[in-house]
Amino acid sequence: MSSIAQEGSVRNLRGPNRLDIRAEVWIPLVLMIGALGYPLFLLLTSAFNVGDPEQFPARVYGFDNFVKLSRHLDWIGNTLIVASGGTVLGITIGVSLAWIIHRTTMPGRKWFDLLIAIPYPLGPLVGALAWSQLGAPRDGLINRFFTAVTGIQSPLIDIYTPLGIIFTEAVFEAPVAVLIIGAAMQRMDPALEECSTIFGSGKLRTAWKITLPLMMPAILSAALFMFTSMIGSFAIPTMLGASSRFYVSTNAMYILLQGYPPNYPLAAALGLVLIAMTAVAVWLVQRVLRGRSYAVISGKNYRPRQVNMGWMTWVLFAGALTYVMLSLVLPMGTLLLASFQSSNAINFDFASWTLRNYKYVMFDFPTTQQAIVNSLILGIGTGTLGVVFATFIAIATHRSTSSGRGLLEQVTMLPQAFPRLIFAIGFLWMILTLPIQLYGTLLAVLLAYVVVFLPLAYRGMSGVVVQIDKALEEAARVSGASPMRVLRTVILPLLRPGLVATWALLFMVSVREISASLFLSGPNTQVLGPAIFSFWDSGGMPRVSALAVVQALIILIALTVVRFMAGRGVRV
Amino acid sequence: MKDRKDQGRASGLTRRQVVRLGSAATMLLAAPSLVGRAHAEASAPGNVDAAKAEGPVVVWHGDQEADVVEFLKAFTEKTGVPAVQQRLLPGQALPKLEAEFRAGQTSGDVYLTSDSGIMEDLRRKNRLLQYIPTQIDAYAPEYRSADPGYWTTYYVNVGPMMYDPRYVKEEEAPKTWLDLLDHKWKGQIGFQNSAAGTSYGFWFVMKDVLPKDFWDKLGANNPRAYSSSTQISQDIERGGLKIGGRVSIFQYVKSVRQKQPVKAVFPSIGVPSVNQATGIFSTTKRPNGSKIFNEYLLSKEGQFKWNEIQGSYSARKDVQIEHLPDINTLKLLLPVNFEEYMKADNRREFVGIWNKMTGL
Repeated sequence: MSSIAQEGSVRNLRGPNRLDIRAEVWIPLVLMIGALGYPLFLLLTSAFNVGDPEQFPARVYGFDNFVKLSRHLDWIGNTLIVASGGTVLGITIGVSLAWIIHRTTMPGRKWFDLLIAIPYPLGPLVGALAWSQLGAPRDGLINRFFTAVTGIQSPLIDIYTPLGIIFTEAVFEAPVAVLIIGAAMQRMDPALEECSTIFGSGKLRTAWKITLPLMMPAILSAALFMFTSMIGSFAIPTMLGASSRFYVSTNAMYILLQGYPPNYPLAAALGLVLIAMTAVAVWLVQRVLRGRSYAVISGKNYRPRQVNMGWMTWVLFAGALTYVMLSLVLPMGTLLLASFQSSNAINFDFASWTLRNYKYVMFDFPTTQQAIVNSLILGIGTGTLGVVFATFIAIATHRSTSSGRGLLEQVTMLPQAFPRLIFAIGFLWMILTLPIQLYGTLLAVLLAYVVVFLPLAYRGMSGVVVQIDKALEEAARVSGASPMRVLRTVILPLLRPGLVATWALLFMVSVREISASLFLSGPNTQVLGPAIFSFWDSGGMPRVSALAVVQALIILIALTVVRFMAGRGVRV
Repeated sequence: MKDRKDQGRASGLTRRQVVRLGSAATMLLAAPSLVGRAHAEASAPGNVDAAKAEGPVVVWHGDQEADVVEFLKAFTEKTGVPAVQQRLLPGQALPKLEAEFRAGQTSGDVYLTSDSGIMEDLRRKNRLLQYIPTQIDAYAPEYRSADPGYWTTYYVNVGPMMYDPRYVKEEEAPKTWLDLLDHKWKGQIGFQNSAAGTSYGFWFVMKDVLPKDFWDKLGANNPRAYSSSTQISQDIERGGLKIGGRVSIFQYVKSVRQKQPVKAVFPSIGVPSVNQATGIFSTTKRPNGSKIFNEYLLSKEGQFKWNEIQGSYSARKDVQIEHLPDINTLKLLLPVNFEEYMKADNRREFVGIWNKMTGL
């Protein structure tokens, strides 16, 4: 009693509003503000630069660039169309698949759970490359098959349209939605669904009226993730949009920056608009989630009942299989086919098939060898640094009593609002102005990766840290364990599944990354994403397909190794 | 101390002034020799042993990566000097270059670009090393910087129209640039986007040859913008695009080598062409290797090797490549007025027209 009174008096002495920011909060806060703030400052000054467009920071300011941008509202409009359309379609796919896998008795659910996760780490670059050969109006494999079967000459599908772009975006981002929504579905309290069934609702009506609204926070989280990814999406619109003269903000920005003289101010102004759009989306979803999250998530662990859908099970099976075909089997199969060709058009004359393209990309072409090695180094580096940093921040925000924890969390999540291409441009300008020689080093790319993927890492580690009961640590301390011993024997073993899963996720997204590294990789720091893009740009379809298959293999091997190493209990 | 100072003052000069004067005189006397030595060093041929010690020559370029890699392999086999490459379009290369010049050193050594206007600009800013290759006389004046040795044309990028007769009948195919305005080609003509130096070169040399409203009328046909000539060529081969509005000649040769039935059209009014220029950055850390590289690239052997790999025209008359039409039968339109070619106003005008035309 006396000690409580004493503590209270100390608090009173310090005052209720006294700032008590401790090292575990201010150190990462300062690092993050530096890594984000300076690039943002350079982007800001460039966006308002009406003087010499190549001056950093600018000296003459005005609004001319935004006036010019107002003549190109189609770029922003198209970006919104792709991001919104892709998100709606992706969420529809995600919710359906998550429900099928986690809430029904459909056979083969475990296999589907694994197969559905794969397209995400393969990435949009692989998706766009494959679908440009599957869905091209004249010689896409699907259209060729359609014509051969029906005799109809007009194409069945055209991937080089806004709808094609939306479809490809949605298919390759949907696994994230399955992951996020699926996790929530597994924790859901089944009582309301049971009530609905008791009151006579059918299975589909219960799913529509009860399950879906209960999942709304998870759905909104997934939607936000997809929307922000698609706003900054570069590879798919660039590779599929040229034929239909369809420009979104990122491919327009790329052209503005590639030309001579590069139009930095207009590109920066466009970048700021994108950041603002993403920030608004983040704010809106957070606002909606604040009001809803407590209503659905409880502390208890539930095992929701799985529904036998009767004859509908096979319809659901067909649906899941269709997704796996569209997102994995057909794209990878097409890339494999294309990689055996000696010309740009795919032919089925086996005698003319060759392995030369693999020999070329694996052994003869130094850029790809370097890119493979660098991507592996970056994958391991980003995974390790990102996990360490994210774990530190997660522990600081959830365990520390320091002031500023909320701010640290917000700043950590801030890169989510930066489309990666735009962040990379700001980051490039920053390292070029620094007195230390950072440009052209792998370290620069690594730092950029760690920053852009930190929200992903933090989200993963934060979810694990909050699940660990503080009582376990307290018990260890009471038993006389030092803080390091507590960390080594209690916290880290408990965090292990989360650490491994987050590490693997960071590894995979780093290996498939393109937007952030496009402007940062140098002569000795080639990485796979830009190498594939450059090959696509100037190297011919067979070789770029072979390189994409190699990249996919690296990712799949990593995925398998991590699942094997992690053993049971780790969901990667 | 005071006495000495006074003595100095008495003679009209302090010791510090004497030292300063002496230093200035030495500098003045040595300056011509220093400048001459620097010039001599710049003009001196590269030493192979020194080049090997310098490390790999870093070549920045905008060409097809596979072609450059193959050429670098041949270069290293021939000279023993290692070399690496990075594909960088001007928008990527120039900000890096700008920052590196501010820092006083460049990570790249040799720069190969499709925009000789950029080269000329770099030359005027003293950012190019003057190194006169031994075979410079093999290059006509229009294929090198006015003061030779700063930049030289390592290939002539001729830009005909291209189509595939499997998808476009020969009699229907365009014969002149004005034929591109026919509405039957709506949405079926492809150009490189405004970031390409060859697009600027095309516009620059054609703007005074074609009617003023040509670009607006062409824009009404909704031409597509591709990021590279390779992309255009691929789409033509796959039947996704009927006409390549301006395709780099080497794409045509590559397609012919792959036995694709493509046709190139060289209108009699003139074919747009650009100097693909090579130069050495003045701040190169590997001057010996860079000089040896340029020496080889511009030699008869190097020119044959490079243009054979790529399928392009050498600027040298003594190098002929199979599958290329005789260059003497073509009316090449090359940018020669570099004052105009470099002008920022012209570039801005081009970007505006080109982006509008291609729907950006």
